[in-house]
Amino acid sequence: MMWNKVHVYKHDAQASVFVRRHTRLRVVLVIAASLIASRAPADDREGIDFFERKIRPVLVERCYGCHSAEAAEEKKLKAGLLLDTRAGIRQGGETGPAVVPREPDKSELIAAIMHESFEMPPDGKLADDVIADFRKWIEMGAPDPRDGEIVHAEEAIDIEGARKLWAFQRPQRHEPPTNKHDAQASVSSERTHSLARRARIFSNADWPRDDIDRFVLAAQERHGLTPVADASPEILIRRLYYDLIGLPPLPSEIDAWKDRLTAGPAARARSNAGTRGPMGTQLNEEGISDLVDSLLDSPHFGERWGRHWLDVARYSESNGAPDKNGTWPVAYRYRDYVIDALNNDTPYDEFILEQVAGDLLAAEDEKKHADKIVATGLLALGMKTAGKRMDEIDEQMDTLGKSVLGLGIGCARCHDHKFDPIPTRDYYSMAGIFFNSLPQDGNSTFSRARFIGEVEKKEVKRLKDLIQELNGLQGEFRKLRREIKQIVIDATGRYDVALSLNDNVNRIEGGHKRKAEERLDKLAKAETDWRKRADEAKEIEAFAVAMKETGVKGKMANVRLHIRGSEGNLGDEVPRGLLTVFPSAEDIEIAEDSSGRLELAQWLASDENPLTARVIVNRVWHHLLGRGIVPTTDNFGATGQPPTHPELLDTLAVDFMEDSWSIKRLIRRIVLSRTYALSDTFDAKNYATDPDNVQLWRARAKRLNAEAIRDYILAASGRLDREPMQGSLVKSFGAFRGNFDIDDQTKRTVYMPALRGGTPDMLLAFNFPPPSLVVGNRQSTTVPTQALVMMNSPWVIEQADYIALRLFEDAKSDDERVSRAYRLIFGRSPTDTERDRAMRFVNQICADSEMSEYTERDSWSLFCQSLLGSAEFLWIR
Amino acid sequence: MTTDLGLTISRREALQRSACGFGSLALAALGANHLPAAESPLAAKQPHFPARAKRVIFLYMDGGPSQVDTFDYKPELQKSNGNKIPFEQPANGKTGNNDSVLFASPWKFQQHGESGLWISDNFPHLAKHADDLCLINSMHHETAAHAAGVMLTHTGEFRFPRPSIGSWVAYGLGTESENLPAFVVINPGDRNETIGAYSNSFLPAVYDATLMRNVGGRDEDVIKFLANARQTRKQQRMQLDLVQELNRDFLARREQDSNIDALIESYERAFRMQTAVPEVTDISGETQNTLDLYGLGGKKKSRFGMQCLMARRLSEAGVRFIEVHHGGWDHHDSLSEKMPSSAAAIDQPIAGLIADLKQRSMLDETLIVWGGEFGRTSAVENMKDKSYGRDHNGAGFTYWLAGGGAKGGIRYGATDEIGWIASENKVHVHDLHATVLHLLGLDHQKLTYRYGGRDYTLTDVDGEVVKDIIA
Repeated sequence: MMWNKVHVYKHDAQASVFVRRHTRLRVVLVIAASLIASRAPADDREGIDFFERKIRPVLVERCYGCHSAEAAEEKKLKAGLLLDTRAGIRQGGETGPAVVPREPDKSELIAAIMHESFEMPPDGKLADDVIADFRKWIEMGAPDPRDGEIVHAEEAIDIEGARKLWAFQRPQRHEPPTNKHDAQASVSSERTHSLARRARIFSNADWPRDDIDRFVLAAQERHGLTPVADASPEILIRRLYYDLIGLPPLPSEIDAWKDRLTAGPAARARSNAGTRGPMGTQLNEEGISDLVDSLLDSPHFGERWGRHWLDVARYSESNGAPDKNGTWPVAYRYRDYVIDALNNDTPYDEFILEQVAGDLLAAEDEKKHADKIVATGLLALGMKTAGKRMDEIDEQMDTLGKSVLGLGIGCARCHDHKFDPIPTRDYYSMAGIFFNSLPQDGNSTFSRARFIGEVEKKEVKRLKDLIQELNGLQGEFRKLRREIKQIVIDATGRYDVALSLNDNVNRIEGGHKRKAEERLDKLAKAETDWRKRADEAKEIEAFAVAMKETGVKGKMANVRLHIRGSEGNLGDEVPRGLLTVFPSAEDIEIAEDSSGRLELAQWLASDENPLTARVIVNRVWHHLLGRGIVPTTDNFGATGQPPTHPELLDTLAVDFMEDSWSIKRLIRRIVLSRTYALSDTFDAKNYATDPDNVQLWRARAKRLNAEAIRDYILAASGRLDREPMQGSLVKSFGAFRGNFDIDDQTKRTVYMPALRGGTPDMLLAFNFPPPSLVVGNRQSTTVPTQALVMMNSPWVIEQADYIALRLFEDAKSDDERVSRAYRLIFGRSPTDTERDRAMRFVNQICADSEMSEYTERDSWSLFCQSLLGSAEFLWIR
Repeated sequence: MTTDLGLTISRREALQRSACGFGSLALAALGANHLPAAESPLAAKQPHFPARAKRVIFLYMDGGPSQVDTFDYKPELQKSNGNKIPFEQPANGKTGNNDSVLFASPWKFQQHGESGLWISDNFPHLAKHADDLCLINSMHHETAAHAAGVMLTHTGEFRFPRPSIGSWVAYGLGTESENLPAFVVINPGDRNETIGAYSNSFLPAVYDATLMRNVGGRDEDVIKFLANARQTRKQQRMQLDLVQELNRDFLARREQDSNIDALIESYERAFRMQTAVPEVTDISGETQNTLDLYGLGGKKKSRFGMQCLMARRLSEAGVRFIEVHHGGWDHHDSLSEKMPSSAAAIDQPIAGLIADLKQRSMLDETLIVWGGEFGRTSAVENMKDKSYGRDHNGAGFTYWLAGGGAKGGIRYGATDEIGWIASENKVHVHDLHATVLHLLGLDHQKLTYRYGGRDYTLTDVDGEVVKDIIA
């Protein structure tokens, strides 16, 4: 594929049909040149590639300004010469053909750029190697895709056309498929033989429990698939605990819930609706529902689901700047904001609104406003690299695009997006919004971070005083330094900037020196004062890594188009605005005194936005079922995969919006479906048709994610501290990332430091996502480094020791110890075979002479470690 | 290929799902303790076209070695000591001092070998292999900052995290070793590790670098969690047998599940790594002659010599991309002392590596790449305190290649007269990357990975293979 080598420029004549509406330019898109190239025969492909890389960029940058349809439209066309189509370039202008294939010497273009006939381009001769490229290109036959022969035509997709992609249309609620059995039954009641036949065919008539199941089953039946049996209560309980709170059930909880799920009058009374387990167990739906509610109410829910959001928010507590990787000791406030928002079931539209423009929203009180400011960490927590403003903005837009809209916007920075209808113009129009706000690092009193009012009133006053004093001291520093410099200059004639202030003073002598030293002493004292006050201020300051609207020189600015993304090649200024492909964004006017960030936030968080609800519903589905309805969770654009159950996705999205954008109730709806509660039983017939289980005929086993592996092990060893962490360990790290490990930590992993380039080895091995990338769908690889962690890491060994210790504390006999180990680690009791195997292993270890120094408990520790490393522990069925 | 459901599946997946199914295949293979090589994502893969090199040894000179004191001979500079800088200093390589002056190399250059390549007297050993070296004097890129330079030379990008070249190569070609990873870094640079220079980024984690630390240094684990402090191998095997029994039970309950197959295989490979890595690091079988080649024969052992020897041993074991890190090239001051000491640390070891690979007929199939994040200015830095040095320079610097299909004994491209700015046959870092992939049989435009809706390559939209340096 060569598409990634090809730039597409919107200026090409056929494509540059501009439609004006609401005084806003609406750019018509060019179809990807890749399509063009891939249709061309192989020989041409190389030529076209050469054209795309060497020739077209030069034409666009240096020639189109005066020789293109756009130039003509703007009445800037010179010499009647159009260089933006193959026809134009061959026909030439007033002096004849610009290009004669294979005849560079007869091509006027060459004469012009060599300054033989004309001196083109007028703003400076092209480099020799560029001229050589043109010559070579013409010698090659001037392959040119901008033409009707090789190219089928530069089919212009207008925005209207692009809007036809499903993802750009608003979701509609669909009627769930009527159960075929029911539907047919009424028709067939007159013909009982037919009913019997159909009843056999639609043998799953009683299967669906709700509308989700109806959509899923209908699709399965279209593919000739049948759902497998329901999960056993133990498996369902473990699954729900993992999916909802990311922690294992305590053995006592398993017992209690198992009773609730398997018995009760409700189960008997509603036996028809009841769920039949694999062994004919009837699960009590009320019991399941109670379990789900209790998990949704748990404070651990926000820790689990908040972390999912932190993955797409590329949450980090350091800036990732290559030379320094400075820490953000207050970044954790965003982490806590996210966890709280999930726990409080903040409506998702509000959640998005706050994260994009929380600082601009009104709030009841200062504390609430503080939270909203913290929320904008979504935009501020990006990696800080070379420090170019457009790079920072690009990162913000890309994060926002992928996380909220499921759209890659970044490509449009350099060229009209090849696959999704995002013209470069739209990109810079949206970039203008971000140009008026600066991310604050919240690190010091003097950082531009906005004050967060979550401190006592009197402290606020003290802090304000301190800031004033600190500012005063800074003024004094400057004054003293100026004076010392002047003294040095008076004494020696020059001040050596390469030397320190002290060394400069050391160069001079006599009275000058005394005067200078006096000031040096004052300076030292002022600096001590400053340090003391700064420390005090730090104690009470409350800053966040967040956004602050700054404007540019007192007003809201626009940015100029960066041609090919280059800062050195600026085009027109583009008015601030949103993406034109969305009709809902089209009528939004951004007032002159508004950056547009609030408008952007409101539009993202609106029912009218076709993507926001779909994307989050799909993320939730992905986490619960192990695969998104749209498998590419961060890409709903033309290059993403289409939904496997479009009607279900849309119906869920509409229901979600109508249900106040409640994440908890969405989760509840999904996990109460029968589809969610299936077992993971294998079925050869289904497998032959659908080996990837796209149609959800069985449950998809999930590997514990990195955090859960650590949390589950700590839970089994009894070392887990379930209380939330106040603040972050990063606070103790100093200004830059230090080395750290988390082996002696016992809080949940979500609270462990999240530093760019500083993920602890164990988490890294189990696919903890790089905190610089938006990751909605984590990798789940299975590689030897993970096995090494489970076999050899001192931390895992230590935890196994703790579990063994528990076995000796709690259990009296070997038999009880095996049971206890199985219940702590697998959440179930062992079978007789497993008991025998366990005892065989323990005895084998004890009997081995090489292990004579082993105590009995060591052998149990090895046994527990084996359980921790096994598939049953690492996978949730 | 396409299934009934309209899903595209790979050939490999199709194979796995063939007649008897992958699960049973895996179970059958368990007797042999490993799966057929084709099942691992690290399995050796066919290149796009016949390769000149099977593997790469990347000798990374961290800090940015000066070109005009090493491999870029500039007679004009030698004559211009103390002269004003004849042009405006380029943004991507300047001293920061407008009144700085040109600084002739304090070392003599001489011609070596049949090719007559000019090499400074800092490299007496390496000079003997002049006819194997392919000097690229016209390297350049956009930055004069360390981290950005490190990222550009490793990933082709410095603004965003991207996969390292070693990860790309591992992704493209896998490894020839059944027991070792595909991409190994020997004694990684701390900063480089932190900023992600060795990272798989969005490529699957299996292509991440495996870091070997303390090679040639203290007696510690060279790979994280490789050794178990409390068990003998026999004991661990007993334990592993139990783990695998549990895993097979689990697999039997689920039947078809390639994840569990992979888990079983990962434990076996990890177990083999535990012996394979110590075997690679155990140099007791090396002859005195070989040790002498690397400067390891005497009492004082060269750390870098050990790293180079390790690189050869990993090459033999089939590892695909080996990066050998050497720091300390950031000669801002005291060039006259620091350069000889840095050069001496690598001179004999690298010469030894070339000679050793040659005597084992491995040089032809092993591409050695030497260079750092940038070069240095031709003008002096730190004039004031007279501790003369040179500043960062991304505008012009030198890389050299040896073996692996690169032309020996040539000097390609050139900087300007005083050795500052690449000016003739310029080779951008993207071009170098494209060329390295080309020598490995990979088309840099075709080695793509889809992330976030876009096909990414190592070279992005740039990069041209430098055909003239290919033998």
